Amino acid sequence: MSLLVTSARLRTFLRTFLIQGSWNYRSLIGGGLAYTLLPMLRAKFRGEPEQLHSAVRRHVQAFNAHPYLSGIATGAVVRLEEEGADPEMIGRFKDAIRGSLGSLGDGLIWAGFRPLVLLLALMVGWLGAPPYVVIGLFLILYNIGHLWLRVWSFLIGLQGGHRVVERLREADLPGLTRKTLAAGSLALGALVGVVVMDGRSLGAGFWPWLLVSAVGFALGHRVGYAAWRPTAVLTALAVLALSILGLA
Amino acid sequence: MVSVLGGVLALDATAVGQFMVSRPLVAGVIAGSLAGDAATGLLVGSTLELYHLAGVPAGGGRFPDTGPATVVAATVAVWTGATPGAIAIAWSLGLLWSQVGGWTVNLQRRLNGLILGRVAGEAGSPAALEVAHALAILSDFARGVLLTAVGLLIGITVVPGLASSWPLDLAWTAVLILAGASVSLGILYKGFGGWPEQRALFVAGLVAGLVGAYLL
Amino acid sequence: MTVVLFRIDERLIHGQVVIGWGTQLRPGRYIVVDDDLAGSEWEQELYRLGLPEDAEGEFLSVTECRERLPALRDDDVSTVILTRRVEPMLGLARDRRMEGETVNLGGLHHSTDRVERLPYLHLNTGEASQLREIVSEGVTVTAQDLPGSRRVDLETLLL
Repeated sequence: MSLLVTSARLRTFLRTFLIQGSWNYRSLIGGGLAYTLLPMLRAKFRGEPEQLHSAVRRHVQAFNAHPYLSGIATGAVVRLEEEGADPEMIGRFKDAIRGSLGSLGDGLIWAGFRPLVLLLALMVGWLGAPPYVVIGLFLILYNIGHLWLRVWSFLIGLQGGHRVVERLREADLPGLTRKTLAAGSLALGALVGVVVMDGRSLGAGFWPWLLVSAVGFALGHRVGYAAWRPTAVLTALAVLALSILGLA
Repeated sequence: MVSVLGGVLALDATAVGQFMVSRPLVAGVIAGSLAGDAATGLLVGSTLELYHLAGVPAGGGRFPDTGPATVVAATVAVWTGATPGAIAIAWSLGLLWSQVGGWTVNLQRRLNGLILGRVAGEAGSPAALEVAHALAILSDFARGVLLTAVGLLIGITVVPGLASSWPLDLAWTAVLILAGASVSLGILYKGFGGWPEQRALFVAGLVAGLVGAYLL
Repeated sequence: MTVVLFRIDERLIHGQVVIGWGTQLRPGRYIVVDDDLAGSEWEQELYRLGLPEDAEGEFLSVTECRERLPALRDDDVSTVILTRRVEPMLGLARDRRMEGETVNLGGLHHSTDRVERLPYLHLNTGEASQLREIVSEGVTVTAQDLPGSRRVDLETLLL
């Protein structure tokens, strides 16, 4: 592989960190994907400006993916473009994989891994660790997973091209998500236990507080995310109302 | 300086990197230590984190912008004396400000569409695309700076007066905030699979947490 | 159980559907209704990657899904039905096959002939009239990207 190709691939990978830079409702991260692919496209269509412009026009079309897994699509498109694959097939590939890269990443990272590591850090903080230890623990643990996933994604995309589906199936991300959600449940239980024990310092107020919190927990579990915004706004307003009442 | 931090954290959430320095837990400690009190930053950041834990930013719906809002909350809490009242009111401002932030993110995304459409257009010019992408990132940074600056201004204007009349001590302030956070934790549990699917692990964790905290 | 969600969304199986709606509705089956995808195995494989472990996925043509619709509405397994355009959903709704159901508009994005109705919803005139036709088949049509978001009914949307 020539130095030019290696360098273009490396710069393309680094640009995946900026793939959401122009997130918009028209093309989602389509502009970001085209921006990310530019080093490779410039290397491929050197001296062919019309071809280059045409490729950019194709890639600014609507696209979306979880940012950490977007490297799978980016790597695969790099491979397909380098091999001179049919542009229509590349477009259909992007359409077909974008939803999966969204739901796999949202489930594994946003719903599983991120809250899991945050729960661990919160628990360490609740047990009295210094502030810098708490955030250091979170940032290091989280970003080991994050950066590994970015590199792995780009490499399997690059190796697999449009057959990346086989590599993804072998990796069994839904299985990993299931384990992460299970670990999250364990960590959540542990954090709740730590907070409840801490609540004993309230003395007589402990049981009413526990009761109200248990009802809140059950309500959140029953209603789901629709309960989030009303609760957040109501609690914030309750705090403000209390302080205004205190003034009066 | 503090507003620049808000701008950087605004970028982290979506546009650049997503290293999660924009999480309330991290943003609270960084902003608190810049203001001279990392412990208060941790208190404000971790309680805001309990609320924001349940959010899954899937696809482009409206989600709270936590970085600048936490910078506002932690900084204002420290600047106004870190009393229970200052912490509570700065905290609630942070929670509301994250909603306002989410609304500005949506405006930013509309603006990005216009920038891409206007600058990159249908021409497919690589240079124009790079300019448009950079402009979108720069304007998002400016949004974060402005959002933080306005939040700080509101905070330092409003919080001292209200904090002086706050009727609860720190323990009862925490009670109020944690009771609301329990709803968010219930939502999170549901997202993990909930009851009864994740019953055994949740109960095991609960027992471990109770025993561990008792022994420590 | 029943069909718990009929959704029109260009991205089909993706995070908002599987995580946003899926964790609330807990469907056991996702059906994509699309004549092109029903015949394309390699594209189906890519879409299937996004399904949760405990749910099955099927790709049906409009005709196939119309035939199965009465059984799906009365099935033990709850189902989410997805189309990426308005037209296949209208195909399902014709002859009052979906009477009493609600169609959720979740994501149709910008193109030169479409007008923005909501940030995540752009419609051209043909699509707007197809949605009205769906309503005339006894179906409610609302736009809502996620369970916690504001729900907007079709009349408000097309004002």
